[in-house]
Amino acid sequence: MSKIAFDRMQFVVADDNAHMRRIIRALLHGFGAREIHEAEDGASGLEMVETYQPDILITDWVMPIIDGAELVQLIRNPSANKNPFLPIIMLTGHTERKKIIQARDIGVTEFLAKPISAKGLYDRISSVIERPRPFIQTKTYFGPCRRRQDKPFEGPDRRKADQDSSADSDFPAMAS
Amino acid sequence: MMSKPAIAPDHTTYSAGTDLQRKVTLPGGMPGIDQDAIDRAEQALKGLSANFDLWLKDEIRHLAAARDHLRGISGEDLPEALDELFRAAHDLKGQADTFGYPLITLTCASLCQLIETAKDMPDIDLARQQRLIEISGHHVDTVRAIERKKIKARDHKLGQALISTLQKSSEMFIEQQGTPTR
Repeated sequence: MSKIAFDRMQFVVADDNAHMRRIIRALLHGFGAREIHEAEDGASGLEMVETYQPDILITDWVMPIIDGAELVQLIRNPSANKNPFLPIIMLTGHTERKKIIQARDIGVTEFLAKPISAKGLYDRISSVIERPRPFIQTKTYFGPCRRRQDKPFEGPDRRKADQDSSADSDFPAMAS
Repeated sequence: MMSKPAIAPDHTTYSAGTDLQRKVTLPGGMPGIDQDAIDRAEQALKGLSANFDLWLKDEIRHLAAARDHLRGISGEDLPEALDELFRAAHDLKGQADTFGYPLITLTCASLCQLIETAKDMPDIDLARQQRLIEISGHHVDTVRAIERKKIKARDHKLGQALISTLQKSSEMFIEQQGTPTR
């Protein structure tokens, strides 16, 4: 039996390339999703997120006017957006390490490099649902905790409160 | 929706939301991946594959148009024209593998890298601008040749040799121009 009820989920897909949108739609349909809203650029992606309040946003990076990175930053603005916690999967042709780090640092939930595959997309959606991460807000960052809970953190702990065991006591795996 | 945040001196933690998990996880569902769902999605993708040759031609037309636009452009108009070519190449880089042409992915990856690096270079003189346009054009010609000859194998010797030559030309251009500004 299927573990995830895709037919209960709503997606917004933002990609300026019509062929890519068709491919993503076909894959999501294959999983069982029925409510898929397509946006041709970052601006209409933001509008659709506001209008439909989807469960997951899948966005391309390279788009005209407002690109995927700017779209993520607009969504991860708690004072300007209704759901800054929205899970965001960045699906992009960028494969460079610096881009993956940049995506993480602007608050992307999951990163998926093209070429797209059914398994790759399923894994990212499944991760969003089954392993949701706490959100962290600092002066310069708002987004999912950048320390994966299932991976031990190594190195000096720069977060002051992590030295105070009471503050993060709900997240034992995060405490280093 | 997240629960009440834990406030610390330098950050606030919102515990992981489980609303979506509750909404879409079926009771009694098997843990781990749902291979049936993945198989259905792969079938759906296969169902689209009859369009791939047409879509590829469409993307290549777009790439060639961006290259044609670049010819004769210099100075302050160059960055915008390069952006247009970058977007077209980046789209193809992301899709060509799915369409069955991995060597087009590699060619476009080389073109994207060349443009991204060139954009960050300070003061490229006119001769160097023309050289950049020329190398970009060779990439586009290679993409067209791979499609025209229907080269789908990743290990196609001639295809690989062509890409290797393009990469060397790009590297030489970057080396001669000097270090990017960032």
